[in-house]
Amino acid sequence: MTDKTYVTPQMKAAIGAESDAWESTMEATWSEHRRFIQAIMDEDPIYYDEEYAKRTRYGGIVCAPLFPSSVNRRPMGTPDPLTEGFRNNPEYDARGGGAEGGGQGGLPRLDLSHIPRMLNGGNEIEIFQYMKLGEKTITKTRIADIFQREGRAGRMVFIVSETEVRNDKGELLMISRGTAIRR
Amino acid sequence: MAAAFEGKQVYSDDVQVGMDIPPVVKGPMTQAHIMRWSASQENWHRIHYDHPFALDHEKLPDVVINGSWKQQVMCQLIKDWVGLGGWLWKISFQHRAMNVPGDTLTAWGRVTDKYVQEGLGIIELEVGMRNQNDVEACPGKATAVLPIRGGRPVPYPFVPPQGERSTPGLR
Repeated sequence: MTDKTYVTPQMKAAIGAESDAWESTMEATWSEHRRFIQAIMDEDPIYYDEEYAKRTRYGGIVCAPLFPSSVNRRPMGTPDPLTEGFRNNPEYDARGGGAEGGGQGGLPRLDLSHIPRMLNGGNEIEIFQYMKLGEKTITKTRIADIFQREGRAGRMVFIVSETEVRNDKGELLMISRGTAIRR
Repeated sequence: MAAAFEGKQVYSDDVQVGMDIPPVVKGPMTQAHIMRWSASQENWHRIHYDHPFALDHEKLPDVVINGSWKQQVMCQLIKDWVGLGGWLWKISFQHRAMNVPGDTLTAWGRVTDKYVQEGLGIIELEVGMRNQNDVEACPGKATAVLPIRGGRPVPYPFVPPQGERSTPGLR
C-alpha cells in the first residue's frame, strides 16, 4: 500500500467544483437570536440595544459572529427526522435532527468507499460582516483542495471545502474552510 | 450598562508579542446550560442530554458540551478584546478534549505576532479553552485587526488587506 494513490481521477477532477447557491430556510429573527446569545451567555449590547448599537459603526443591532450558521432549519411540510429516525432505528442518535443540511446540490458525489474512515481535520472561519435581523443567507460550497499525506496512521486524504456565506443582499458575511481527513 | 463597553478601545500600539488578552470564563457548566444551547440550535444529538445514551451507547464519560457552543465562546474572546473599533478576522481551532457538566471553561489568548498591513495592526494569537483542571480542549489560532493610534479606522464591513506586511514584529 506504500505507493498507492488514494486520490482517484474522479476526486482530482472535483477540485474547484462549486455547489449551487442555496438560500437559508429562515431569516434571522430577534427571538431566535435572543435564545442564541442567552445560551452563549454573551449579552453584548450590540446584540440587543438598538440605541447603543446605532452609535457604533454597525449602525444598529447585529447578530453574533457565527449566527449565520443558525438560520437553516427544517422547513414546514418536510418529513420529521426524529420520527423517521427512531422508526428506522431505536438507537438513533438524533444527530442532525433539527438543522437543514442542504448545500451539496451541484457538487459531484465523490466515491470515497476506499477511504471510509473520517476525522474532522479542523475548521477555519474568516469573518467579514455581521448578519442583521431580517436577513437570510445565501451559501455556496466549493471543493478547494484534495491531497494526500503520509501520517503516523498511514496514508490520509485531506478534503478541504470552502463555504462562503453571504446575506440576501449579496454581501459577504463569512467564509469557513473545513478539512475532512479520510483514510 | 452599555457604557461599560465604550471608550475602551485597544490599539495595536498597546499590544506586545507574548502578552495575554483578557480571558472569557463560563461556568460551572451544567446539563441545563448544554440543553439550552442544544435547544437554541435544534440540535437533538442525544450525547448532549441523554445520559444513559451518552454513557452506555456512546461510551462517553458524561453528556458533553457542544463543540459549536465552544466555537461561540472563542469568538467572543476575540470580539470582546478588539472592541467596537477592531475586528475578529480569522479563527481556527481543534476539538482536542471533551468537556462535561461541572467544567468551568476559560477561553484564553496570547499574542504571537504583530505587524502592520495597509495601515492596520494585524495581531496573530494563540488561543484555547481550558477547564478547571487545566486540560486544553480547543487549541487554535486567531487573527485580529486593531487600529493604530492616529491611523485609519478598521473598515466595516471588513476588507482584508491585500498588500505586503510592513514593519513585521514592530509597532
